[in-house]
Amino acid sequence: MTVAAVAAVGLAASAAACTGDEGDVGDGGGGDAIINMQIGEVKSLIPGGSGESEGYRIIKNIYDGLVYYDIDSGEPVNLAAEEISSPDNQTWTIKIKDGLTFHNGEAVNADAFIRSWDRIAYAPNVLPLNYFFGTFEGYAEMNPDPLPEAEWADPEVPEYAPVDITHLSGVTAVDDLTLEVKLSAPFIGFPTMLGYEAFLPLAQECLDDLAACEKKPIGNGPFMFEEEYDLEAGGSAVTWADYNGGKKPSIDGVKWKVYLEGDDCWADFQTGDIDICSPAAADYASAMSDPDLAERLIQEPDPSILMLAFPLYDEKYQDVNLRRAISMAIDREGVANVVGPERFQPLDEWVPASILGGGTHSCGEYCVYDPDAAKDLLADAGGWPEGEKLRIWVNDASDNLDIFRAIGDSISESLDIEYELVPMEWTEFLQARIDHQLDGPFRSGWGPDYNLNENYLEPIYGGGPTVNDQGWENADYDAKILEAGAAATLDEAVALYAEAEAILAADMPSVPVFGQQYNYFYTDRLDNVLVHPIYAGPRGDCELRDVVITE
Amino acid sequence: MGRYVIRRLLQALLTLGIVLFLLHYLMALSVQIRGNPAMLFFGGDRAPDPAMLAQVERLYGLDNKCYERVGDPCLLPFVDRLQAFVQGDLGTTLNGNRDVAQLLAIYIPNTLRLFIFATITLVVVSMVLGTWAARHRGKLIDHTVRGTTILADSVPVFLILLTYVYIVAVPLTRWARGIWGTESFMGQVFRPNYNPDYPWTTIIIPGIIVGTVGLATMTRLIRASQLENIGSDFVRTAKAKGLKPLRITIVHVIRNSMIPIITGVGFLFAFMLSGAVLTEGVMGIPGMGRMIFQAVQRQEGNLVIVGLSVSAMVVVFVSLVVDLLYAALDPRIRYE
Amino acid sequence: MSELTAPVAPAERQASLWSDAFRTMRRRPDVIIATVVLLLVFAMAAFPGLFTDKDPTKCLGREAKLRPDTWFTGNHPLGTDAFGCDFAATLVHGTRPTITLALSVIVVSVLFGLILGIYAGYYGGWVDSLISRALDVFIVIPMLMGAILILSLFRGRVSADSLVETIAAPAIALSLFGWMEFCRYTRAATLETKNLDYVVAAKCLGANDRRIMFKHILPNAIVPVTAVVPTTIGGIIVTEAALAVLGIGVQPPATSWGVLLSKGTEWAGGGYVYLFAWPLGLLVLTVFAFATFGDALRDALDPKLR
Repeated sequence: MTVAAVAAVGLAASAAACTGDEGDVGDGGGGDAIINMQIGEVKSLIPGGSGESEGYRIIKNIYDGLVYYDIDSGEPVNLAAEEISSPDNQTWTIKIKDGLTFHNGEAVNADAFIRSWDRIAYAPNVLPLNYFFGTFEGYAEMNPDPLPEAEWADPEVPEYAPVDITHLSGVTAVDDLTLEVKLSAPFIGFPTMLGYEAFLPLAQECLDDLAACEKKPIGNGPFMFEEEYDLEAGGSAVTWADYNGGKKPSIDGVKWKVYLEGDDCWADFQTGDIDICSPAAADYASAMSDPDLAERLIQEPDPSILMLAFPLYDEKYQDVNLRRAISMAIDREGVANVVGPERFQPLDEWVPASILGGGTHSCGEYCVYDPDAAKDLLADAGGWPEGEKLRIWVNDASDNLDIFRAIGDSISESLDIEYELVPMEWTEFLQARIDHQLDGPFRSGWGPDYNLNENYLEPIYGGGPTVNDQGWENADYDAKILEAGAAATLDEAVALYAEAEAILAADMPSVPVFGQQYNYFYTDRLDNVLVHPIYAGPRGDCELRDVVITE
Repeated sequence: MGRYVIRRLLQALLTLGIVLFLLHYLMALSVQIRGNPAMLFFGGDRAPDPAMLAQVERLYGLDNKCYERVGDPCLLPFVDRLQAFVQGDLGTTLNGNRDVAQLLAIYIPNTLRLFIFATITLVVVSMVLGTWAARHRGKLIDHTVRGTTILADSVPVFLILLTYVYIVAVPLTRWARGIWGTESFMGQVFRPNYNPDYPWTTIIIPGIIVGTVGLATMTRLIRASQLENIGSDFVRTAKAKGLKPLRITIVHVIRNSMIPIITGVGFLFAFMLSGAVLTEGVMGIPGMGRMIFQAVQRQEGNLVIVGLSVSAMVVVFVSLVVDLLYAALDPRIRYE
Repeated sequence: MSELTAPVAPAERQASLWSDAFRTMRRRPDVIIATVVLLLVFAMAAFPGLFTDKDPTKCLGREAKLRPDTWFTGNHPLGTDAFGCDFAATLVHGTRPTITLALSVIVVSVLFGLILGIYAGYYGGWVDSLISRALDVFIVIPMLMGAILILSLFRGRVSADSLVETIAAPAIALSLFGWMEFCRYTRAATLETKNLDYVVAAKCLGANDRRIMFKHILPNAIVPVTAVVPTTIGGIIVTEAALAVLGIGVQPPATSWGVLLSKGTEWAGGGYVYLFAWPLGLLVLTVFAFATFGDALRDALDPKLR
């Protein structure tokens, strides 16, 4: 027994000695004003490979894009670009600012953008953001359709001709600092779209050694990595002393700590180890009861939305009155009460108000909770088949099970239909949606890529019945979208997109359920905490270029 | 003795081989029933181009026809996998295309640290309690110890964990930091989450919590074994000789009770991995338990098979060591 | 003078291990309390109507998380749960799946373990080798991990229609990884017993194998197994709760104590302690009762510890 005691004491002593050394790791590059941020699972730190919120939260600080969205108006403001113009909305000329460099000294010129875009658009690279170049001329050559089935070695496995072309023919470097982009169809939202991750530049050194670049990215933004980023443990970035691309950040660096599913930053926020965090619903109530903490709350509209979409390829759901009945049967406030009224608000439109062109309340009366009217509409649609259950398909991440269970309870109460939840793992869920294999309404969510209402309309509902997950077909809608893309001014385009939204509302292939809100608490060492509606990540984020540390 | 060891090693190899095949079969079944995990490679909200999907499937050997038929054991991919293992290639993950061997190099030490503290806690606490209960057999202390350990086992370990993280840890950390400062040992040891900057300090409490799994069983084992020894001749002789009770307890009784401890630790090793799954998830420790759990959810075949095989190897190895120690400690046991 | 009569021995009571054990346990107060608790819980599982008359599936989102201000009276005796369902009803109706799951797992595991153990111990040779290898393979995979593996196959394919469907998946998963302990004990007991004189005698008299196994060996083999059964049931209930917290196992909207507990832990910190305290209390009480019963049973059956 004494041996064990001695061992325990020895271990404690050595652990105490260890902390002396370990404590020094926290220091960043030059100064001490380091902000501690939480981050989730990062997929990639090279533009084009992420497409998810966590990697993008780092990428947006390490890289500067051509444009940046203004935090108040949401309009794109030139950042790395000097000027973006087009005579016909189809051929665009982009002038890049002179004198910009990457962290390693390479110039940020037309070639930097071309090599990045070529990498993403090249099909064999298998990058998630590949489809953003769909409107560029030359995309089809780099993304061929499969060979005829007869030529496949294995009748089950599609085969493709090898892709020799590695450069988008529609993009040319007119001179060192000017790009010319030819689109296959006019798209007035092009400059707005350029603010997204897919259009960031890439350094040659990065392209030469992608594996090293994943660990220590080489960007052109205000923050740089001096040490490698570890996907498990996180990492830290320091302010780049030679940054001349725009406003310099006032802090000295940022430290990211990783929290995966099932774990959250709130406990560490309370001990002061994380500077900004979003509480779970239960913790929110107790946080608000602390008057000091309640003052350090930021609430910003989160443009992410949650919808219940219908599989229109299933004949049960082909009557619009049934869909409207279900929409009116959902007590949105009741459901919000279950999962967190501070985070979710009832939504009655398909494009939220915080997005340019949104806030049209297009759903109108059909998104108001009215069980009697819902029953009438259901009767109009011929009633619900006796004995059949309404199957609601969701992916089983975080809140979805709770939200959709409450939605199911609500529908069940109002319309007297039995329901069941079918949870699936994310990738299977996605596949089932694409393959049109669902037999009941399913969860559909969306977050903003760029600040235009078109982003909430075309990618989800466009493309025709074989492409979109709902299997929705409406020629008027598709025509209206094309018309809007060819509009002369952005204002006209926005108005035309809104008209497309109205067409969508009349047909209701999906039901808007919730809009969301960010509720972030921050520690008292921070000041000037700004949460950008488009750029902010979930669970706790702020603009690193603006935040100030007061200690 | 040598023959015994060789026979046990051969048995262990056979067991591991069967385990490998079973795991492979389960993962193949998973792909057949649940569908294609290749989508994981892409992430994000949208669907990848079928061309790219096919490429990824080819990369990971998921394009074999056997994955269409439910129940097909997929022998060819199994053989491929075995060949790769023998050559030292443990494969890569779907999500992020990371090298499995590298991931193991990160995860195993973390879980190992957790287990070290768990084992120390388990052994020390159950020893103390078991001895105490045996000494005062039948009296209030005995019943209290038994009652308390049973109660401790009745409360699921994740509840102790959650209670600690959400109720105890934050105030305790604040208090400790107020006195000793943030960077000190005390300021870090009570943190509600694991911090990779302080790998040893912040793993103490999770280790202790995992160590309470199986406390009742261990205490009971020790108590029973000690009772056996207390009533035995050599202890009676020692008492007759006039040795102090404490010395008798430590030198004679405890040493002879080591056998059930070792057996118990060996047996409980497998349970610790289960405890680790929950602990690592809640406290954010990048370890084997959490890795395997996530890998199963996402159908990361390589990770699941390699991870569970490693754990199986450890359990088999530990049980072999336990049996050998058994023979070393008790001269009455001899293996043919 | 009274007649001298040969002393007649008083009628002797038949002493057997079981009746002795029963008598010992009957006397202990903790066993009595444990038994009462268990009977209550079984009653709750079998006849939920006795304890509550509300429908646990009638859930209104607006009424979520109403605290039970009026205890045991009023519309919602214990308040409402996180989704607006009557909490008392949810608790009571959640008992049946939990208990049924635990009982079915233990029955299947014990049966499996017993049969395999006896066969292995009795026949020896390659039967023993086969079964011992199987034992090794399954022991090496921890129960929770094995359950996670098996349950992942069932994702999204189970509905909450009937009791059987709700618990089938976790029941299979837990049984598959729960039979090893019983098999081991039985095999050891079989090995011990099969060389005893009366067994050898029975064989010489021509009794066939099956008769020997089940009439002579089984009564001995079942003793160490029975000693562990109650404690194992408690362990299964706890494991089910762990599975629920991980999100596999019994799936909402079906309830079980594990599901209630995992929901309750989310809200406990926000001031809704009752959502957490009630399922926890019920679970701990039941498992403790099982464990106490089991501990007492083990002591009563173990001749060395008298």
